Amino acid sequence: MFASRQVFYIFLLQTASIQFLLASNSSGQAFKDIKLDLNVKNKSILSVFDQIEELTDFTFAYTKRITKDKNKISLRRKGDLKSILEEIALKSDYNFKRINEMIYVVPRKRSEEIHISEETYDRTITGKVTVGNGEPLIGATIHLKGTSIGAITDVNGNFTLSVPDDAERIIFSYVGFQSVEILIGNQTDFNITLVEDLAALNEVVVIGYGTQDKEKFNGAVSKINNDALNEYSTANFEQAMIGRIAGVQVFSNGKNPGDNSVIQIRGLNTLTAGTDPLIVVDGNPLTEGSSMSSINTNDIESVSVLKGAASAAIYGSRASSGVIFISTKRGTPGKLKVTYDGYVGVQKRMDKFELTDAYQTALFDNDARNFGYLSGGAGRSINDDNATRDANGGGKRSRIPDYLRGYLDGTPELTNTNWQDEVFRTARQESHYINLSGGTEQSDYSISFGFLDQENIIIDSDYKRYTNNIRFNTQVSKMVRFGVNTNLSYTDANLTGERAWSSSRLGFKQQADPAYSVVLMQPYYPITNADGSLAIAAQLDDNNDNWDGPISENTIAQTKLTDFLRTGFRAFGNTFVEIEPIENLTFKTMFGGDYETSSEEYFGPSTIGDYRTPVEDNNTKASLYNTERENYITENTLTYMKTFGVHTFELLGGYSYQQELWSRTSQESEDFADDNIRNIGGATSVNSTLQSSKWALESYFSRLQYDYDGRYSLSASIRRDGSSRFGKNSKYGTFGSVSGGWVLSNESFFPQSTPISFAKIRVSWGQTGNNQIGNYSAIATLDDDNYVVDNDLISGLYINTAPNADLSWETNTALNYGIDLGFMEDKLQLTAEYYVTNTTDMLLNVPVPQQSGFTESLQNIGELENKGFELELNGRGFRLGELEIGFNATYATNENEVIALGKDQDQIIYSNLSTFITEVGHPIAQFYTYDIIGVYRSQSEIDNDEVIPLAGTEVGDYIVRDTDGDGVITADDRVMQGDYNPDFTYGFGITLNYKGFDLNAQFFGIEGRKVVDNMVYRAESGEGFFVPTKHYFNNYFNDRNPDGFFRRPDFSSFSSAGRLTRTSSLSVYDGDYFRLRSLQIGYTLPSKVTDFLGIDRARVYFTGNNLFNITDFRGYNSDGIDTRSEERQTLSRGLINSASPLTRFLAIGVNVKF
Amino acid sequence: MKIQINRLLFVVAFAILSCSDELDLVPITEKSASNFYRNEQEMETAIFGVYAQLQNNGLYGLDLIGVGEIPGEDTFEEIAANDGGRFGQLDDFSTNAENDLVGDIWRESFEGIQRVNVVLNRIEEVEFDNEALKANRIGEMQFVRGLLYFNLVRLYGDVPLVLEETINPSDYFGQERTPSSEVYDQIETDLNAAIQSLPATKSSGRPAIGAAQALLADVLMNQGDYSGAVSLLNVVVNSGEYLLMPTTAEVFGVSNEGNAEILFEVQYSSGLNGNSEGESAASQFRPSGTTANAKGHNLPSAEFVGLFEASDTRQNDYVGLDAEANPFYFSVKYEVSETGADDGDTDHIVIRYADVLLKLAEALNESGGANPEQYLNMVRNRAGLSNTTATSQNDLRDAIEMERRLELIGEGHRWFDLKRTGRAVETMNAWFAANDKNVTISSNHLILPIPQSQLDTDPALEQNPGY
Repeated sequence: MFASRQVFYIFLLQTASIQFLLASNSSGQAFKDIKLDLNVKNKSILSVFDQIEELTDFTFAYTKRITKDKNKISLRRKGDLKSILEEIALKSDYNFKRINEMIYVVPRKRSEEIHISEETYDRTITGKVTVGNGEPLIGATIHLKGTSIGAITDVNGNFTLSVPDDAERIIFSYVGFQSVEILIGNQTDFNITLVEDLAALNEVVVIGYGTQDKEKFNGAVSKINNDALNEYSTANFEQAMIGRIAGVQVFSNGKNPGDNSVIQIRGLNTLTAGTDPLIVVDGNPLTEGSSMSSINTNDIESVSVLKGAASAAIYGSRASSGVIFISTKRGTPGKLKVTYDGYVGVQKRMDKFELTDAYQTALFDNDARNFGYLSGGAGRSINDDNATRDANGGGKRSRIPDYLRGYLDGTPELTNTNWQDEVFRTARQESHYINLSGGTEQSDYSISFGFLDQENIIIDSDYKRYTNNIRFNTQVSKMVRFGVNTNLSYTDANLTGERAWSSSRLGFKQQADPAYSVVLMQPYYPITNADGSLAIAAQLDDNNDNWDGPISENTIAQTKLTDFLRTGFRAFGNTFVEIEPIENLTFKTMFGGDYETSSEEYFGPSTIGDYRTPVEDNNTKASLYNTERENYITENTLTYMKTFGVHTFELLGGYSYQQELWSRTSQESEDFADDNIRNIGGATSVNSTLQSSKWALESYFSRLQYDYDGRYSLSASIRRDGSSRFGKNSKYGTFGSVSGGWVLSNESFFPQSTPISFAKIRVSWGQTGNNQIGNYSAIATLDDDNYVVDNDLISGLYINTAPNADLSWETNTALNYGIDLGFMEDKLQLTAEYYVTNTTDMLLNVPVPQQSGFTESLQNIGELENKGFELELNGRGFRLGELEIGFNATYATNENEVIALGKDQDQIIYSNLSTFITEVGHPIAQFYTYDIIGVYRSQSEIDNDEVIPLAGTEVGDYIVRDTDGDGVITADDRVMQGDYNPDFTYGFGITLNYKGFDLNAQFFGIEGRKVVDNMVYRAESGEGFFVPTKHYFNNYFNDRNPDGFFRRPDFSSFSSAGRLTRTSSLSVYDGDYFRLRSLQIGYTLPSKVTDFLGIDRARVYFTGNNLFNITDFRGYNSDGIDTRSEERQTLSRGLINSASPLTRFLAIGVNVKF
Repeated sequence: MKIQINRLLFVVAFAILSCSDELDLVPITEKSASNFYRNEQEMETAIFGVYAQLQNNGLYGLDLIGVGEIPGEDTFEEIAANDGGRFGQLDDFSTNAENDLVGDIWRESFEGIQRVNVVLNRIEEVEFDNEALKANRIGEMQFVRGLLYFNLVRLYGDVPLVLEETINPSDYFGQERTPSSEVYDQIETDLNAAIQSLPATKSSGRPAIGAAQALLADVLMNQGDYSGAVSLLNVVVNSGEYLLMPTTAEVFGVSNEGNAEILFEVQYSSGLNGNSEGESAASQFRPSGTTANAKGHNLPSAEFVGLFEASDTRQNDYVGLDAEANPFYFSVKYEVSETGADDGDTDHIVIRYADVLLKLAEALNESGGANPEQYLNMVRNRAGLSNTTATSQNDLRDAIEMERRLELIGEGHRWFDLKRTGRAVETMNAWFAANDKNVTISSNHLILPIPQSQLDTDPALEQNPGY
């Protein structure tokens, strides 16, 4: 795409002698005067040029496209060069233009006449082109602006170019570097340094089973290169894509470093099937949902994202949520190059979740206990002492703790623990990466080692990752090529709990999350005793015995005294052999594998308590989970490419088979004699279970690509997939695509004088499938439910899933329209896309009437539509004196609408901590709650309300809007309150280079997102059990604040109406934000210094992530939706159960190249 | 050379294209319904799966006990707000359709019914070594289904009636609630069939004829058919299969499990299967702070405990107090186990002989039968009390009611008794007034709301009046 035509035009074939500019004398002769005897039979046009070059002093210059011209020419002629060239022109589609000793080969349009021109210029300019570190740039193009006159640099970076006297500007360019335009003036010698182009032109994108020039691809694809990825420092590459690719959203609750994120491309295309895009690393398709952090961001050369079914249909069944291709680094021919990248930095939380301190909590607690007591029965007075309250049946939650008095009186220096401050810390993070690469004409290699050491911002948790990536490719013979890619990673993590506020129970990932637990830690209790030891059970025992407040164990003690560890090893990679038995026909066979094993361990000693479980009632607990995944793929493709004149065809056919075996051995025990051994090995008896499952996918595919004259292109693909996951009757699905593109700017009628340098319009249509459901979803499976008879365990079983032999593919049908524009020599590039995707036969876990014996049933029903508009803008190579300026921007919208659900079904109401409605004609998962319009401030307000409030409404409860106007508040008065899907997302960035300095800033924002945060709404529910947020504290209805808009707190007799409005319009938060995602300021040492040091390049930089974040959201992070697959229910998208705070990261780093 | 390579490619291509059987995968570590239920042993496993369902917290592990008792006047909720008001809302009749207990009992009952339906649908095809045993098993399943529907119809009123194995869960969209009279008819059909099939003598964990007869008698009494109940209960009493334990101390507790007073129980055991075979009532029905996960649900009130006469052994044998830790009474019929919270070892007794005797007394008294007081006195005497002084039908009615309260405290009966005798609204309103509680109930409160999740799932279901 966007090839600057002039640059492209003169791009010289590398095999052409690059010393030609040093060729001897200028003959000065006209073509007419040069006599030749030429005899060629059935040769390619290039070999004809070769012969002429041998016989004369002339050199031909031509575009890369001509090298692909397979047209054969026969010519037997004795005569002058002009007539010979005329004859060649006649037999081909080219004209010739001579300037001094250069003969430019110019493609001739059909309408044009044969034309051989000759010009001689006396004026010669010379110079040298180098790159940043002073190394000469070989093969760089120098051309005269607005003409086809040009030259390329030799091995020393030198060039000589003859130009007309009136020549004004020359342009220096090289693929992957920013072009430089210079006013010639009187200057004759030019020393130019080219700077690498961050948004390179003439991009080659990976499109599945091959690559293509982005210019020729008719689907929607975005690409991001290594440099841009590394501007955001993270263990997970997907985090670095945020804001760089329109239409890609990345969510993460980030409990532990290295945790997967949820990548969502172009909205939600499914209701209950998986939404993971397919990730293909160097041709190896990884299991959906498998760990993405095993890929070191430093190893990534580029990421290409195919958006939507129309672009990705060649990946058929696996592409409905898009495809992400990752290409790792390859070596380039030349001597060994060593690069080192490293940084050291710190991370800190930067969210707006603020809890009250002890003095405020005491006021709240006092109110909650009093109001609860008063509303719990008649004849009670706020002045009743605890004994009277007990006698009146108030219970422990009506008592006023004696210690509260001091806080209420404002006695200074009382215990005032800020649990958040203790749970979070400033965390250190460092990364080191070394890469060795090089190659010869035949082979290339790249080997890297990476090490990341990251502390969690939550105490007692960290993550270490070791990675190794090897790529090797070699041309064994003219016909045979092979390559090996491997990626190894080992991780060693000390984890933090992930499970909201459950106690540290046994079970996979059931450990309590300290970041969430802070809402249950009262600031009246200390973390440590006077002697420095951990204050175990201080709050737990006091509340258990006396006050029945949150009966929580000291979360710091729990975090420190329990172990939660994970180690993981993963190896994935592939080997391929490519054979070209006859010219243009390539057979490629690939065998790949992905092996992953992880071990997760938990240990909890008997010396601490658990939630609601005092130390003396607690047992030692330990568990061990060993998980293994063995995946292999075999893939065979046959590709045939042929060019006939202006027609270029490429035909691909292929077959692939992939299968995966997954197993987990779980060992759990609460049966320990003592705490001596801190793992399952110390258990007296162990409860052990094995889970194992397998899937297989078989696919046949074919694709045809056709290009006419660089102007029109057409592509069609078809794929047939069979999945083991579907029913007997419906395992196979067929998916196809068609696309077409028209490069207007390559048309003769396209005006040359406009600032538009490239223009293309394209349309694509395609279908893909989705099979991301459980492995045996079509089969009715049984589950254990054991019984005991006389204390003997006896096996029992029941059917836990309903069968569905017709369960089949969910199908996505997408239509994509795109426009690509280049302006000002393509310095400014704009891509706009509009898409409509319809998902039919949705794999939907339908809530079913429970009298069926089931709660949900997986079925193919309904239809969903996604529409969106995306804009990507890139600018580069702008100069202001010595200041170079580049910028980028993205903008994306997405809206979805449910078109149909099951038969006679027009809505699905789904409850998961909050209530969501998915209704025909509306977007997926709208928050569905009562609309709060005030607080009942007196009994008379309740009694006199024209609307009958919710049953059990008390003073201090919410006034609910009677949305259906029937005069009584019922469940039918719940209304839609928006959804998680933003109206639009936007990102923009700027890159500046000035002498050795560089600066990059990247901003990102989202607008129109609504979110429900379980932790925040509980802390703002007034239920008394949770330490409140400052926001709730400042705004609840009470004597000090009679106008407060939050309900009155009530600890012991929370009303039924209060329960029903626990989530309401007040708990649907605005999740918008605008952030400075990354800022990097670097300085590259001048070549004088690096030469002295004997290195090629050295750069030091400062980098910062999330330097500012503008948001109204009061939780940890509105991106923090749960990433565990079992909790990613689309029907409740937008519920944050327990997130981790957004973090600010600051680091300094170096890049060195030897 | 080129041609040879082309041939090779074809061979490779064909070799690759021939492995599509690989897609017919069956579960590795899970059993599938299509190749199970084939023989007697597998059928027995499925039947234990039915009993296992009864253990769940939505049924006899917790909820059915609480819902059968907390709405009445004898037990209360220490902390109304606890567990999202799960039980607290029952206490003051503020239960709403989103109460988890309302949803859990509904769901788990229907799951249990489906498990029964699967067994009944498939057992005919399976050959048993002993055909009589097969008949027994069919009877057991009919008993369980009758029991579950009896609970449902008493708690929710009209409920959807499902008697077949589910082939496609979506078939149930649009199914309306079956009138409770028809549900009662089906319960009677099931229990009458069970009486034909069950053995005369009980074996551990399974019902015998007597359990089905006693349950059917309760079903009839709920519909006002006292004479039908009398004849059934007389058969049970005269069968000699069951008797009262000599003292009230020998009825409950882990060491007394499986005793001769029990007609049907749901069994529990602690420390087994990853501590998953225990019940939750023992810990959650303790006053807060007294043991792990003590939640103060369903506590006998001081007022209630005051009803025990001085010589009544049940005050000590049935009710406990740990005045130092928390001055609230609790039922000691469930023992807290060593293995931690929610892993109680005590079986839950669904039907026991004392209940049968008191029901017989009640049925005789209501139907004008002879000597109702003799059965009442059997229970009184065992508790160390003298014979009743009541003689008139009215006085006996009160005496029997009082005896049931004292004898069956903590077992989940009081609220069902109030509903059966038609005295719930009157009794509770009087009690609320006497205790200065600002609560008044109507007949709407006699049944729970239909779970909101079910109304949301299928609008064909209609909410009960008053909710």
